[in-house]
Amino acid sequence: MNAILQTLVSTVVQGSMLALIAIGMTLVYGTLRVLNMAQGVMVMVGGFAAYTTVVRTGLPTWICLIVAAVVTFLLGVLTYYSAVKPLLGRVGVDFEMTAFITTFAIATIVQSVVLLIYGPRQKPFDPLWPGRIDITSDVSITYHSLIMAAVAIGALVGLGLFLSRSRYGLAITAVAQNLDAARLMGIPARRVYVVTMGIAAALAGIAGVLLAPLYFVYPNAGDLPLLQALIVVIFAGLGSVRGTIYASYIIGFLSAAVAIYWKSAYALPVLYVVILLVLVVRPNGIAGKPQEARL
Amino acid sequence: MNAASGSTTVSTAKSQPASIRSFLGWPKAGPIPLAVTAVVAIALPLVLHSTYWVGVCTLALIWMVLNQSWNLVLGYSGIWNFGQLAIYAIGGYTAALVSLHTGIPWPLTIVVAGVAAMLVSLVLAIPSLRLRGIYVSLLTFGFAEVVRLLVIADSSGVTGGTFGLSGFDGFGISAMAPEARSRTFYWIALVGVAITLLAMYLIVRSPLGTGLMALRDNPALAAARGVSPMKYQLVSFGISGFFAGVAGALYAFTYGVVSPSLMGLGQMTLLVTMLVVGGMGTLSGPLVGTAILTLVQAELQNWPEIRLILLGVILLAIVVLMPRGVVPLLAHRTGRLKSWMAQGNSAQTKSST
Amino acid sequence: MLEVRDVRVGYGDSVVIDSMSLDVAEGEFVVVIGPNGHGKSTLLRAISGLLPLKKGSINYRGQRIDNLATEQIVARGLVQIPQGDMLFPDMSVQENLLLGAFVHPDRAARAARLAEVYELFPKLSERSSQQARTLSGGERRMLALGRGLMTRADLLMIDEPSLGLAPVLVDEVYERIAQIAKSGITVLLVEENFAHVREVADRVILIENGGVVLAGTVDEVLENEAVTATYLGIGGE
Repeated sequence: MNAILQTLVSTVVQGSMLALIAIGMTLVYGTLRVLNMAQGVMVMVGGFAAYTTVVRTGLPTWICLIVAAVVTFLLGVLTYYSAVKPLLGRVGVDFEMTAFITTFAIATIVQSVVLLIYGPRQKPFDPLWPGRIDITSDVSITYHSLIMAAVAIGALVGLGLFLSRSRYGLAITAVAQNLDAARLMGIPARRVYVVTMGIAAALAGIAGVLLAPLYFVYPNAGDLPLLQALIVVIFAGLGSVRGTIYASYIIGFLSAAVAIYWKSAYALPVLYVVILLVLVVRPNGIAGKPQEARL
Repeated sequence: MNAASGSTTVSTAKSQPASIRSFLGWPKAGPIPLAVTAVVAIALPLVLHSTYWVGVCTLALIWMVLNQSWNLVLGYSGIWNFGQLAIYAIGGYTAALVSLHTGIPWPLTIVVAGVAAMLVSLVLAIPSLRLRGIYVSLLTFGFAEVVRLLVIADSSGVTGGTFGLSGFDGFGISAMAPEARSRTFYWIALVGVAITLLAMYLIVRSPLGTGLMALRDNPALAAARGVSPMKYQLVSFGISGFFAGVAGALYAFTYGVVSPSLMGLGQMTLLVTMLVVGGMGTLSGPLVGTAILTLVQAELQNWPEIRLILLGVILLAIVVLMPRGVVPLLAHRTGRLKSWMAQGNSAQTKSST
Repeated sequence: MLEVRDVRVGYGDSVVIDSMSLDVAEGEFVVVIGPNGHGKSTLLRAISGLLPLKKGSINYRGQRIDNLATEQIVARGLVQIPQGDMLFPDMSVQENLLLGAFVHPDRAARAARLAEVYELFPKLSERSSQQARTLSGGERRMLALGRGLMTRADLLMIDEPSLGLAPVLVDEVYERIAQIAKSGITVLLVEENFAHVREVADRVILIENGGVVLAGTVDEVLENEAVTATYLGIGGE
């Protein structure tokens, strides 16, 4: 009984965090047809931004969330201008693959710059709220985990509302569904691209702050989140927002279950094998649609 | 079904004019330049007096084997395989383990390592072939990362975890004098490159090669002509896996150590840059790209902190500015120069009549 | 109002339109007719800025627009209703319509236009919260037209409004289009079937192989027997 409860709790927390990171990749792929390999370093930079804010200014960790979001938003915009925009409209070159490589290059550069500035050692980060509460005698949950889930879910809900209600959010959705039609409506595609990449990075940055107390802050901290996000989006099918949410919680559940009932080190390879099997059956993921290419 | 039906993606080599396209990458690479290059390559360690530089060249040769293998599946077949480094590492680890635990002679061990890597590559190929381009890159990249993280987390001692494996005898020449030893490493690697190059040359000119390129450039047409994607691409994965494994084994035996660092972000950046600089889809491209970048890499060792930053910037710059790589660019320019000179010739002939 | 001069357009290395020129005067209803694949849609795409010109120029209201981004062209009142509707499939009818007014962020004005469009297309009003993908072929065409109208247009370009529709629906669609034209909007329409447009068009431009074959009023074109046979032959089904 306790194991089930613990699994449930972990599922919600982990799933929400996965969703926060993966949804950025989905949005960027949906609108730009770019697989943003720099999404992992955005998580890491978010953590560092928060760490630096706390260490240098002593501001409360809540402010760090905002600082991290702003910093990563700007970094996302920068990534667009340096790694994606130059490739738009190029003839004779495969856009998706080239963008994969350029965003990968950005990831390397950012990671190395951070390494240069901060050094390789892991830096500690305080949880946003200390302590834990006991649900039963054996199952407890830290306040920080509660906050993680709350902020993540809040951000996802906010994103959902933005995408379906606001003028700009609908514009993003439109670009993802049919680029030419969106342009014919007068939607400024390039501006949408910039905003989308910024938002995707900001969401990852927020995730980075939330994850910092658990995984510490260090230059390679983005490797695992990137891999997890890739697994989620493969499973979900690229470009499907709804699919990404479902996939995140399913993957979160699998992760938690393997960690609790077996050994946490096996979670990743098990996940990978599951993905492989899913892909053999459904090559476009659980909710992905075959998409046209972007130029 | 991985055919990009109705999509407007265009692969790297598609819009090159047919006159420029040639299997070796340079238009009309005659036997004389080839012979000269071969002589230079063989004599190099005798000319260079520093074991350090011979070592750098040996590393370049090992990477050339790897990049040639990668080029087969990425450049010629158009499959976005980003897990090649894990295959390479698996070859290295296999060679190390075989050498540590058995007494099998080293040429055989290298073949065993190649076969092991080939098998893994084939297993990876099966789901990949059902997927569309970008999903393959996700899958293969994910595979490489999972392997890497698994090895790092391995506490059983089999793979040696983060520190890797060492202490195996490899080529069995540890008793040699350093100069002679480094030269031997070089020549063994050179043989490796020669064999790989020959294999690639034969493949590219064979029906397998033309079939792969047809599948890359126009999958629908190729399928209609009876080229089976499954068969051809599976073979491509297999062969490229074999040679990647051989490269890994060569690395293991030359340096006496294998570790997860063979697979990380830095390595991948370096090797992708080599492929991009040289240009994919040509035979000489990976060779040129590897040579240039190995030199760059050697120089960058002087600035260890910013080495990776510079490498990333170089990769970004090359992809943005010269997405088809140096070799096709130069080939294009050389072609234009030659046709310009030919025009001048015919004008002279006309005026003299 | 619209001046297309010697334009050359194509995809990648290929050329679809070699050197085409045409004019549309304010208030006119001009129809471009020609067989499929000969450059009609390509022309509209180029005018809307979706395709770059290889050569030539396009002027709208005296200003060059061929170097502008699509959203800028749309903002100036040059709006296209694309071939095949190109709706946003997962959005509702209302959301599709509202997005049509993206360039006009004034809420009140948008609501007013929405009401106008619903009046013109009452069926859309009934289905306003349904997803676009669930609509029938005819309804989708109406939605595409309505969405185009939400963007305040001075020159409306319509690409093959009869495509894929049963004859009854085609008549309905052209009725609406005639209404729209009567309200003062200049129309440049692309059509494959001459029979549909002979009643409404002011001028007709015949295109073949990416070039203009004949241009003139409906009567003038009908006088040219050589051409009439070919084109009425095509349109005769």
